[in-house]
Parts: sequence; structure tokens; C-alpha cells
Amino acid sequence: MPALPAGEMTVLGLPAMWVAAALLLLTYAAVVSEKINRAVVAMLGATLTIVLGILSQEQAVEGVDFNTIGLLTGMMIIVAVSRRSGMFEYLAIRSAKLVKANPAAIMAMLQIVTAVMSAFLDNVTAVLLVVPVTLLICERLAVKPYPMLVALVFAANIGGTATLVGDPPNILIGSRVGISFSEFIINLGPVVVVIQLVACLLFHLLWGRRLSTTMRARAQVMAFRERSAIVDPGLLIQSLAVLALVVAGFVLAPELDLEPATVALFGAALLLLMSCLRRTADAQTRSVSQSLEAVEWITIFFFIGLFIIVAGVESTGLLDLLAEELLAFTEGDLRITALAILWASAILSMLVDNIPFVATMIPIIEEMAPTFGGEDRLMPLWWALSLGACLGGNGTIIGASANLAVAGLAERAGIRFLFLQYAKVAVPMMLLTVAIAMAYVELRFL
Amino acid sequence: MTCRTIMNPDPPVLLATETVGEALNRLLTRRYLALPVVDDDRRYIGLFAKSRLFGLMLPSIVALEDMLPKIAHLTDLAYLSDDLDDLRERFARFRDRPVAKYADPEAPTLRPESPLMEAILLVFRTRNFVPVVEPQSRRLVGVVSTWDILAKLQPER
Repeated sequence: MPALPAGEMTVLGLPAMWVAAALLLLTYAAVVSEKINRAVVAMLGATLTIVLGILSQEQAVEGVDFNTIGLLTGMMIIVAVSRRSGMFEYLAIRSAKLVKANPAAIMAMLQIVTAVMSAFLDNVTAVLLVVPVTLLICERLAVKPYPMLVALVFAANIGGTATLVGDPPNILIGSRVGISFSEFIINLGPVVVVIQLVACLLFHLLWGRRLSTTMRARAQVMAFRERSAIVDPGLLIQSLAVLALVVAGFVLAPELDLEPATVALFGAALLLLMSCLRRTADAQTRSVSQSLEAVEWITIFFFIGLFIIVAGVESTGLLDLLAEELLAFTEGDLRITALAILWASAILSMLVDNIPFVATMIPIIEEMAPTFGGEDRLMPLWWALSLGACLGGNGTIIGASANLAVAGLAERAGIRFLFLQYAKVAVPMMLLTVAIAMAYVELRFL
Repeated sequence: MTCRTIMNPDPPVLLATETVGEALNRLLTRRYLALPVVDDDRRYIGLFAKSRLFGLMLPSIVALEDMLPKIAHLTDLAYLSDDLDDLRERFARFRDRPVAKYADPEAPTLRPESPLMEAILLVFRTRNFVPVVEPQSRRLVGVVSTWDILAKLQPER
């Protein structure tokens, strides 16, 4: 434990505050550069925080938000098991057939499906489940997949904004501040619906209405037998039951005095248990290994490392100083502070990964509680941070993990996903969505 | 003992300029599982395997699965109702393209100096044959197949 007050700590003869800040900035830079895997960067930054004496190992472990880690891991396992039923392909094909395989309408339908899925699963998972079937449908319709993919990226980031579990920034905010699943939906759901509908309309005007195909190609898609996509009906029933139970658990978590991580991990354990029943020990081991392999350990270790780095910066008192500076800039006005956070989050999330940004902003906002008269008065700031960080990520290919995942997948499929080409469409659309969010924050919370 | 001792130094090859259709004929008539693709100077380009032809019949996203996270793999294709005519039509789009475009440059290769056990391990893992390539010139100097290795196990006469 440091014996000196936070601001007076030194590391290697230098003020600890600046060493910790340098570590955080280096981590940001390394993550943005993408030269080194982000999990490695975060692990290195976290261990250096301990090696340099900014935090002890015990303090570092305390800095990790295991509610976020448990929630992410639990949901990843649930998706890994349930996707084997074929339910997500069924959903995408059914949506395409519902609109008679009309390309423009498919584009709108798949955006809605992705947005809804993204509200209950993390964004990357949602797009990775929908994009392969989308590419297959585009191939059969002989339409360019690029417009659909960009629209899906937007839908994933917009839909994820609506719930506690939909987007990593929300998981971070909800877990640290104790905002429930229901509170997220009640407070952000309405504006997310409006923004998604506006996005659907804009994508239709921009690209959708020009997508055309032949009747023969449409007939090919209409010939898809979506029922055959369900390869394991038993698993489908189990998955739907567990997903319903988990969503109910999220909604009732505050009344049951449970954390979302417990709900997600319980659901994951239940689904794994059901997949083990009536199987030999070897088959159980194979099935469980397969499910656990699907956990994105890179994301999990990235979060763990990041929590420790931010805890290190927080322990030095630097974030208190930044909070004071932000308050001085906004003259302690809640409205100006909320709008500044919304726009700063949106612009910065467009340029840097929104996860480290939000992880850094949370303690800064917490420091503002005394100025605004208590923690309850901070709620508009949390909604502003969530909306800004989640929607801002749409602006560039590097703005959010879902964008990078789709861009990477598209490149491998031979679809060019260029930074400027994407930004030309995405930046104005992102700014419009944030403007809608600004109006909403002003009207609803200020 | 090295690969040079056990390899077949004169294996059948496909020329880069040959078409996918010609490659299919070669594979079908001799029942080869795969053939190495080389340019006019016998520089190795990659391996054209029977499985690659199958890949061309499938939606292109399936052919990319090796490069995608598991969560992005299609669970099944039972919902597609394609028949043989559809497959023939799809194959017709590739038939006249040069085979070099579809050769896999990432397929494992051996060097002439690779030890025997490395060769056996690769042949075992690929369940096929492995091209032997000169590291400097990238020239194909032979292939090592299960048959080459098994033949060497026979007592010498």
C-alpha cells in the first residue's frame, strides 16, 4: 500500500501520476496502431503497473471488475452453444424470405435482426452471426454485399446501445455504477429505436433502393428451406429456454439481489449441463472444450489488463485532476457537462477504441458526484457517455470492435472495406445519430 | 536420412496456365488427390487439391472458414436446395480460369534437406503428399507421399 498521498507517490524517481498516465497513453497508442494484439498490450500494461509499484498485486486484482468479465464470458458461452442449433441462420433466412427476397427490404430486415440480436449479445458476436448468411444471400442475389455490411455494422452498434449487455461500454458503465438491465432499456431503448429506424431509412435512400436483382435469383433465395437450418431442434429448445431465463434474470436481477455476471454464468452453466446430459465422459469433455474454446479470450484478457491499468491511473489521483479540469471547462453546469461528454465520447470513440476510453471516463465522472449533488444526479452523464461511446464507434472502421470484425471478414471475402470510403458515409451518419441522441438527452434527462 | 532420399523427383504437376477444367480432368483420370502447381521455370506456386474444387461448389463464405473465427462458420447448408445443374452452372464460371489462381500457397512444404521424421509427420497430418521445394529458388524438386515412404519400408533387395 502506498504510504504517501496519491498525488505525491513516485515511481523510479518520477511522479507516479505521470508514469501511470504514460502507461495508459502508450496502451491507447498501441491498441490504435494494431501492431500488437490488444490483449498482449493490456496484459503488458497491467503487469508493468504492478512491477513499477503503482499498484500492489492485491490492489490490481481489486481493480478488475469481475462482474464485467463474468457477464462477457457467460454470454460468449451461451452463444457458442446455442449457435450450434442453427437458430441464427434460421432467423436471417426467415427474415429474407419474409420480404420475398427483395434486396432493399432484406437490407432493412437484416438491420433490424442485427440490432435486436446486438441488444442481447455483444456487437461483435451479433455481426459475426449475421454476416456469413448475409454474404451467402448476397451471393445468391448477385448484389454487392458492401452496402449491407456497412448497414449491419451500424445496426450492431446502434442496437447494442439499448441494453446493459449490448455493448462493452454499457457493460462497463452498468457494472461499475450499478445501473440495471431494465433501466438501460427504459432510458435508452426509445432513442435507440428511433435512431435505428432513421439509419434504416438513410441506408435505403443511399443504397437500398438501388439494389436490384433478377426474379430467378430471388427465387433461389425463396427456395432456401429455413426449417432445415435448425440442425438440432433439441438444442434449439434448450437454447431458447436458457436465453429467455437469462433475459428474465437480467430484468429481475436487482429484485433478486443478483449481479448480471451471475445470471449470465448461471445460464451458461445450465446450457453446458444440458449439452452434457446422456453423453459419455469423453463426449462431454469434447463438447465443453468446444464451447469454452469459443470464448474470445483476447477480449477477456484485454478487459482484465485495462481494468488494472485504469485502476493504476486512478490510484495516483490523475483522474480526479481530469474531472476537476472537465468541470472547470463546463463551469460545473450539468447540461453542458452532459453534452460535452456526449460529443467528446462520440468523436473520441470514432478515433480510438471506445472500451479503454469509457473505462477511463467512468472514474472521472464518478469524481463529479459532489459537484452535482450526489451520485443520483450523475445519471444524465452516464446516459450521455453510453450514447456517445456506442454511437460514435460507427464513425470509422477502427471505431468499434464490430466494425473491425466485419471489415476483416469482408477483406477475406474479397470485399474492399477502405477507411476513407467507409468514413465518407459513416461520419455524417454517425453525427446525425449523435445529434438525435443529444436532442433526446436534453429533452429526457436535463 | 532426408527428403531427397525418399522423394519422388519427377512428380506430375499442373502448369500455372492450365485451366481449372483441365486440372479437374487430370485429377479425375488419374484419381489424384492433389497436384502441385508450377510456373514455366518449375517454380512452385501452390497445391491444387480436389478439396479446392469442392470449395468452388460451395458458397464462397464456406471456403473462407479456415480464416474465420468459429462463431462465423455456417452451421450447416441443409437449407440450400441446389441440384447438380446448379453445381454444374457454378463450376462453369471457374472452368476456364487459370488453376494458379486457386492453388493454395500456404499448404505445407518440405525442403530437400528436411529430416525423414519431419516428412513422415507432415504426410501423416496432411493425409496426402507434400511438395519438396528448394528454399532459395522456390523450385519444385519432388514430392513425398505415403507411397514413397511405405515403399522404403520394404526390405532392400
